[in-house]
Amino acid sequence: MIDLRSTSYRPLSLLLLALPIACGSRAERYSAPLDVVDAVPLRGTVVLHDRGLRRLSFLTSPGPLELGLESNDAPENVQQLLPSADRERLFVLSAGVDPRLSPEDEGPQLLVFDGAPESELADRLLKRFELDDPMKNLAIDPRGRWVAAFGGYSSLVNPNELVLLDLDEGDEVDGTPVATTIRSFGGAPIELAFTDEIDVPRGGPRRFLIVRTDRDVTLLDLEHLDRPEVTLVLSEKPDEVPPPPLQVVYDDGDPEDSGDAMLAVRLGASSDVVLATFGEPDTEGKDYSMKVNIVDVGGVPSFIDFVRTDGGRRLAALVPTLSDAVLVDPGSTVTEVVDLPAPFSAMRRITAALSDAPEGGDVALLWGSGSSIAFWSLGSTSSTPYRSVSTAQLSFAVTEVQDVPPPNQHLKVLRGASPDVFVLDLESRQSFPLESQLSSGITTVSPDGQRLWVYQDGSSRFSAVDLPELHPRSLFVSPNVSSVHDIERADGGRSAVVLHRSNGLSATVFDASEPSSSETAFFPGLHLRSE
Amino acid sequence: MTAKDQKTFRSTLAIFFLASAAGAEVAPAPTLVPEPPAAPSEPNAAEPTAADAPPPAETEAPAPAPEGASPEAAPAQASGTEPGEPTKARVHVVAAPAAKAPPPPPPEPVVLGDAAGRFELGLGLDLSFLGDEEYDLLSASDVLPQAALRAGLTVWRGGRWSVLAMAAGQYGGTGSSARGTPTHIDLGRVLLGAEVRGHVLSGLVGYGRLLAGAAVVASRVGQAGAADTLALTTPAFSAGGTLGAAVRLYGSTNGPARAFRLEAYLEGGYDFVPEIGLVYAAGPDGPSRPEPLDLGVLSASGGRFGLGLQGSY
Repeated sequence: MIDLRSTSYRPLSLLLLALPIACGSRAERYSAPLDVVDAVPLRGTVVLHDRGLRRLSFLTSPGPLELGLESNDAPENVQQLLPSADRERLFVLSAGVDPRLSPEDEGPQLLVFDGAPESELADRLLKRFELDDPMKNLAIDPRGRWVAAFGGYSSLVNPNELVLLDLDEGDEVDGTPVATTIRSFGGAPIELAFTDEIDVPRGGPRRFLIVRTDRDVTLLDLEHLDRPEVTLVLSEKPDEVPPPPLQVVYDDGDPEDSGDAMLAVRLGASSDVVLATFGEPDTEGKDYSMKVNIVDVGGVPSFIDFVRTDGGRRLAALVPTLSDAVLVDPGSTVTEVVDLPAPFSAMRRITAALSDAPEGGDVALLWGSGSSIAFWSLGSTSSTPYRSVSTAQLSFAVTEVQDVPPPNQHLKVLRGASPDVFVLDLESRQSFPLESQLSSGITTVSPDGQRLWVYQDGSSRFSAVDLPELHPRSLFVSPNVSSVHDIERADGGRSAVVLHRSNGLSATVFDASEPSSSETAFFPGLHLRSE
Repeated sequence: MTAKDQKTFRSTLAIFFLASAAGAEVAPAPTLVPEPPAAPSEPNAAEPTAADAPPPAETEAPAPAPEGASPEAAPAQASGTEPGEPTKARVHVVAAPAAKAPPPPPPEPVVLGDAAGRFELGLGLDLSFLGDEEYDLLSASDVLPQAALRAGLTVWRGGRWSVLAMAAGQYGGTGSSARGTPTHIDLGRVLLGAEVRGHVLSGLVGYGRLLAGAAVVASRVGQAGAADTLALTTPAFSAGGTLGAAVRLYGSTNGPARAFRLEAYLEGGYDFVPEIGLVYAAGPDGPSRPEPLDLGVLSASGGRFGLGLQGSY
């Protein structure tokens, strides 16, 4: 008889025990956890950042009810994943391998990917900028030329170092980052914003990077990165911590006048507004000097912006505590108070969205904590200021105003703490309610301006609203919706890609132009596919 | 029977009679032991025929005959009365000797080989090693455990060699979770072929086997029974070769003798299954108009290790 316990058979016993575990490691694409999957819609693709698998998947729609998948390895330790303003590109900021112990370890970098429905590039990689040190935040130029990285990631960080990346520099994939450190008065950058062309007294129009820190505002001349930056210190006494700047707006002024460009800074917990003019330079070698004025608007403003009135350019400041709007003449710093029917705290100029915009002044949309909105016609403000405001009543307080792209830019989508949605027609100044059963619905406007998608994460029902006609279509999908993305197809049409997070990751594709629950295609197992 | 033998018999009968009346224990009478058997001249069912008999050089020497089997030891209790003397009744009360163990049966001859028409049935565990990366979708290891059942019939014998016609079946399954999604695969095979057995030593046989037949692969991605679970079922050709050894645990050492034997086997081999497209489809209760999920191609070919028990008669 065979006794496996005997010494003679011990090697055999060990072999039998070892066989089941003597196996190779499991492929990561099946063993990686399915954690958070970030979805970023671009013009012709939905980019899925699979953090568990460190993979970027580009979902495209080659034709009606079709779904394509292209996968790239994501860089190590992704910090930011942002689309360009026109959705043509995706910016991926990564910190690389940490710690980086060998030259082969991937370093920090910024990758720029193509967001077209069909890319001519095999890996969709347009640009790559290798960074010396990991960065944490990105600021995107709305006009598509610049990207700025700021805020370090290492154990020792220079918070005032900015890395500027010129996307138009050369045709090579590998770009050269330009690092610069702004002068510090104890603060650190909070927000970076790229301006349009601003005409200055000498040297012609140019673009600036406005750096808002927690105590000052710095201007970086993007045409002359080698020149020292200009900092607006917002404190009169050197040993005094100034109120933090909360908002910076700019205006180029009269296109024929190169000396009237201005900045305005709204300060925290202060009724003062700082006005700074790009004036004649006071020393040789400079193209401009900043001339600073401080204006008291009577209360703590919640929002500022430059507007055109029939009396000329003004800085408008909303003071909700007084239910007022204050118009500041930037030349004389004279203020004019406009009483408002409600404590409006936010505004947006809508002049450009109107087909018959009034001459001599802007029109602004006002909203705030109350359930009313207002149209503020600034063309008649100086003569009849009070009557220039017309209000409309809603059923909820507006917290978000979504723009609709052309050709329906005269429409705005209003959201608040309500399942309902209002579509506001700026031309007719009418608001149309859309009653929703979704308690925490999400609204996205299609990039072609034709549709509004209303859905709720975890619901099987969602809606597409034809914006010109305000005609809703109720749609059903199974499994439940996670998110809805309206993208351009390779054949020029549009597809709606509905992502599901049930039983992994899957998608249902609709024809976005004529969405119907009876004409769909379901694509399962996206988290398991490699191509 | 001689006169002396008749006398001894009568004395013994008398002693037995008396002792029984007195309640005494009587030693058993010696039995008449036949002459030692001569070399078998006629084959019988329990012993090898001339055709079955291996060459003498391959047969181990039989053990010596047990003690007491010699006729010289038989008259141990015989009376010492001279012939011609009147018989006198003498009573001996003797203590009964300790009972002797029955003599062990004669050992079977050790003969290598298989019986004609021998039927074999085996049951065991097979571990197939599938190193294909696509198998990682379905299992956290590279092993597919399978139950193995096979039946064989000896169709040819030649000395220590024999050939079996064989039918075999394997069935196994494993499951895992691929990125949080349950997955499972079942693999079944029905194979036909032949096995060659060679008897190396008494109780140890080596064999080689070639089988071919049909396989069925069934797999799913998703929870069993869920509406949105994806599944595939596909038939395939399968073949395999095996080398192994079996050790007799129970049964006759006389290989050509028709008797029940139990063996443990240990074997290894290689199974071939053509590449299988992992194209999963949703069921009718799942999402509307589903597209198939193509997860590549699985190679289910690979090495195999097996062990188990087989009985034969």
